[in-house]
Amino acid sequence: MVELRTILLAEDNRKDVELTLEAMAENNLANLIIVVKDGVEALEYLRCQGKFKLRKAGNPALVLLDIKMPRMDGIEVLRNIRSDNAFKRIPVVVLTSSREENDLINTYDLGVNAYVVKPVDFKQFIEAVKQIGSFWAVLNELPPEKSF
Amino acid sequence: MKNQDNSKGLLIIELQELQQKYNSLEGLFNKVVTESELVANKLIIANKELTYQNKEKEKRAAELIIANKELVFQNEEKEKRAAELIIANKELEAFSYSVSHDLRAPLRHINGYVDLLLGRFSDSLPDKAKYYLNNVADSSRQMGTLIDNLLQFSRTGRQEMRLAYLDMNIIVLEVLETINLDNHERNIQWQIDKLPHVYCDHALMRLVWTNLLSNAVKFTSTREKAIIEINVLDEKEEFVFAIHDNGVGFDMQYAQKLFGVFQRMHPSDEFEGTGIGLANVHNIILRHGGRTWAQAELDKGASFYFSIPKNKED
Repeated sequence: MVELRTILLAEDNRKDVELTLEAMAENNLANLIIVVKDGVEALEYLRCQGKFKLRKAGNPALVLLDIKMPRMDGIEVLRNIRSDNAFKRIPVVVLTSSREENDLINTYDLGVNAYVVKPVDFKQFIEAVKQIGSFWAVLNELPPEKSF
Repeated sequence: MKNQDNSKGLLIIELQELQQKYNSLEGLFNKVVTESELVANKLIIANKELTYQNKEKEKRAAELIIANKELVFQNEEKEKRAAELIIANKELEAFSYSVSHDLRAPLRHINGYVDLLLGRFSDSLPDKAKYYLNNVADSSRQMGTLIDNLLQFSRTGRQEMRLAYLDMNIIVLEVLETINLDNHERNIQWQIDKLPHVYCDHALMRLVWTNLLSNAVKFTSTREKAIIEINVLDEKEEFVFAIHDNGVGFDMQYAQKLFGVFQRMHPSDEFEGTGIGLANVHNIILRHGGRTWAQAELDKGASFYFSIPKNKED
């Protein structure tokens, strides 16, 4: 039995969330996926603040990050994660529509672990989500928590 | 007396001589006066001329100053225009990028939901419904290709050029390898001249050849044996490359549209494509300082040409 690990999905588009969850389900990735609607909520989840005040502490196995989001975008979230000792080692994968060179440069400069462009074709999208999920939430060895 | 007479006579002679001298002196004097008057007149005229010339010179100088100012102004205007053009271009590229980027999201959703519908409810859907849904899927796939091509077009427009002195033979061979892999069942006869080294960007030049050669392959697909030729003309200041094929050609009446974005000469049912390939070629060649043109006849093959300036340092 594979250990269940949490994936934090930061995505503002309801349909993208739904399709990503469908793709995860299709691949039997029974991980606990937490969905947040923007960058501010993503940081609230990590810091156990706001509506996540009462959640069980601990970092997710993966943060799946959209770039274009209201209030705080993915790049700002990544910057916050990497500059915080408690979160800096969390694997972060950008999952976005944009292949914009500036976004690639900025996220890699900030130490993103991977950058995936959402395929337009749904079968390819399912495949992409499957690979991301099985690699980062199952295969990948997580960094030890609380040892900065 | 005689002496007196003598001396009188002498005196008269002397007087006469004096008179003559005086007369000639007077003549001379008069001559001098008229001459000097003439000279004076000439001087006055010369002076006037000089004054006039000076005034003209001043006028010219003033005109020159104005012309100079005008030139400076025109140059400033030109620079301003150039700067505005650069900004407008960047905005256009950013716009086309963001449009194509933002178009992908809803398209992804359409694809996703149609796929889910067909996958999960296939049993309960009548055949007609499945047919409709397949058409929706087909169209959204087609739109996906269009968007991807538009993205590529926008990218080749703003991609920074890394110019180097490159062997065109190698670039063409690289492209041919890929094309032959995709068309191994076709009977294609390639006739390729020895090509020169050219000062160009590798990735962009590859794209030019990929577009032109795959076009030649595509539009000869109805021929039992395709013949595709690549020639080069060594002109004084540029190389002119030519790609000839024995394919379906096109009507020269529409030739000026050929290199525009999304312009097509044939229905997509007959020949696949989005009409962005030649627009890309045109853009890339333009960025290299060259030109593109074509010559064809319906059903009698087509020739595509592009020029690349020779490196001036050579």
